[in-house]
Amino acid sequence: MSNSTARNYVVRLAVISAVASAAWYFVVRPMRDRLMQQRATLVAAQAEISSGLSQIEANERAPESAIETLTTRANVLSRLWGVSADASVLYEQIDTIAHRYGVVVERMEPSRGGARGVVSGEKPDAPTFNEIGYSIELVGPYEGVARFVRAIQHELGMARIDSLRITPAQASAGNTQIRASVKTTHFQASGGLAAFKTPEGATP
Amino acid sequence: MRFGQPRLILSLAPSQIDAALVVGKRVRATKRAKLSPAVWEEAWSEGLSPYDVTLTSLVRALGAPKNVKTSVLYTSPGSVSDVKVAPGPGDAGIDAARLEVVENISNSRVEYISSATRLGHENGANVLVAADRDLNAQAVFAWLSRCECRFDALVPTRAIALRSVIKDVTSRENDGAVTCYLGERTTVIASGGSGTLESIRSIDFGFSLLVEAFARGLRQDVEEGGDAETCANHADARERLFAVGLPTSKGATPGAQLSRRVMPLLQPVLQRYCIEIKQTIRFGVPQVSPQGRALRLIGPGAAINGFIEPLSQSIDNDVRVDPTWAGFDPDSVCSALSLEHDYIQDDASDLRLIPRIVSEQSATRLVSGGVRTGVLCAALALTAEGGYLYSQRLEAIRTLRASEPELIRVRDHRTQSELATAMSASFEIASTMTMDRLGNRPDWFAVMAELAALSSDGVQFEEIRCFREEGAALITIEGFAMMGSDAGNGLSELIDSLRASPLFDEVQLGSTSLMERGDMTAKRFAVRLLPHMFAPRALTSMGDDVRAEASP
Repeated sequence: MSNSTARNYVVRLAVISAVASAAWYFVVRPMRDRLMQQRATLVAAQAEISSGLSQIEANERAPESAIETLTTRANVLSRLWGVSADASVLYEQIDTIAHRYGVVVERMEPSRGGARGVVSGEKPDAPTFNEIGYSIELVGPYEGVARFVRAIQHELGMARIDSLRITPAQASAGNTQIRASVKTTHFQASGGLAAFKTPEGATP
Repeated sequence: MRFGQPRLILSLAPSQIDAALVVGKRVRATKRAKLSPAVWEEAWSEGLSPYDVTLTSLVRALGAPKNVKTSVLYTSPGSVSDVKVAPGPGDAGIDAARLEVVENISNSRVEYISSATRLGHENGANVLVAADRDLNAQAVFAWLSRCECRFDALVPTRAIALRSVIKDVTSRENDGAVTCYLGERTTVIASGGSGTLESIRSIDFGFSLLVEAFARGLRQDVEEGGDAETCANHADARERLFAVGLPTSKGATPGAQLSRRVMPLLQPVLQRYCIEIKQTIRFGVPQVSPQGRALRLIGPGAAINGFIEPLSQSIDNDVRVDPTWAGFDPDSVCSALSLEHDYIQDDASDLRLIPRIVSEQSATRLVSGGVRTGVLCAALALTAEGGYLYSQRLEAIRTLRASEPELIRVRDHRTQSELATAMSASFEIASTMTMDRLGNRPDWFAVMAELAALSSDGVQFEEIRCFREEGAALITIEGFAMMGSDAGNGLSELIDSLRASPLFDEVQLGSTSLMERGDMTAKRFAVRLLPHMFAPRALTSMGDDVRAEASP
């Protein structure tokens, strides 16, 4: 075979080898990579299914049931916060309660509040509480005052009786009147319960 | 071996081209075209183109198919064939013998091609070598291509002759006779027998010289005014030589006048025959007996009458013509005694001379085929790998799709679990902080009801104070208890009742002092109570207060 023919064949072989290599590199190799990726995905999915099924079997209580219970509780807590959220409404409600139990609110004034009462949360999802205090002077029958105190504590949401002073007042029409001085603290909550707002319809 | 396909056997000699159409080993048709030996050298120098028409006519006359495979037994101006003793075993011995022959004829400006094969006798001790100029072989190749014949084999006639003579000598019993093959352009002298070759010598001349001398004599006759029996045609001279034989001085024959004219021209040729044979027998053949060795004539020339007398006089011993060759018909083509017949019957592929252009074409075809095969294999391999990978990927995708419902279920469960966990944590934080803000507290209503129940005419409360001190609730009560026989131990009973009440964890009686209240004496007292604390009900029961509500 002559040198030129041999050279010609060497060049042809080189070109063919290059084409074959390029075909492998650009066509077959990506296919292999995709297959490996697909297999890895499949293995991961099978592992996920296996562990997930065992977890489902191990769980005594379905997460849906737990979510329902927690949502109910969060709604209760949210309602509790909601009652004491508005200061102007609190005034009206205190008057309403006093009127309901036959006691007279002689004087009512805020004792503290604003920035002083703000307590910031320590955790990301923690609610922030703003405290409002009231000092209330009452006159009325003992039972009425007792029921008034009870209603303040139980009906005005997140409220706390800080102090109570009861002294006798003048008797009128045969009823024993007492004078009571009540100091209360009401909490205005904001934020919190963020996890309940994410899923649709689960917002408390 | 070739079965079924026809092939053409050509025997190219200066005086004629013999063609035989062969299928397998059977001769189907033969044809001879006569040539003028005068243009032999010129024809070779012109690449055998003067014989194009002749060959084309022969091929057509034989009815050979187009591009029929053609083997050529030929005689060329430069071809050499010889028998050498192999200097070693295997291919090395063959190569050495080939080199020895080629070195003897090599010319730095001429390229030679050669072939060599071990001969069957004496365990392959001898190697038959054939060589020729590459140009000659290329000329034959081109000649065949021009005449639409496909090159198959190119074998020098002398190589076939040597092989045939050796086969003949070694296959017969050793009777001490020396065999002399009288060919047209070759003379071979060999001795041996019973599978042994004692000696062999090939001489580069044959009875064609006798024919030429005869023809020359005939031409002289024509120039002188002509004998009706004479003819200038070389073919006629050959025919006449075989018909009447060599003229002798004895007796009157029908061609006596002709004999007188050609005898002086034939005599030098005969003389050369005698000298070459005599010298060879004397110096080249082992002498086995004092009587010398008889001479046995074979080959086409043995059929020419008149050889025996001059040769027997020359070697001074018995000369005989082998009966097989005595009846040789010089006009028959591819007869049973011819070299062409030997070639057809014996596989002589090992003696083929391959022109370099054909070798290169074969090598190129081989490489080209290899490249094509490689490309095909690479394409197949790539396709197979790609197909396998694709099918595997499809399988993985199918499996993944099949497990998708379970995967969705598991993921949904996990999402719900994570949501429940997040909700629980969020609620825990919110409720804990709410509890922290509200803190535990006394049940104020119950406390006031209890105090109202304990109050009486004998014990009265003047001031009740409830407050928080360091997170704990405290209750202080100031009042007075009437003293006297009717009043009894009001204060003690009050303390006992308070201590007995579940609403108070601790009861401490503080200072007491006497006082006048109207016309009675009373004891002023101060009591410090530590009420029992309850968690805010909204975060525990999530419903109504479970404690009983009593009127104060």
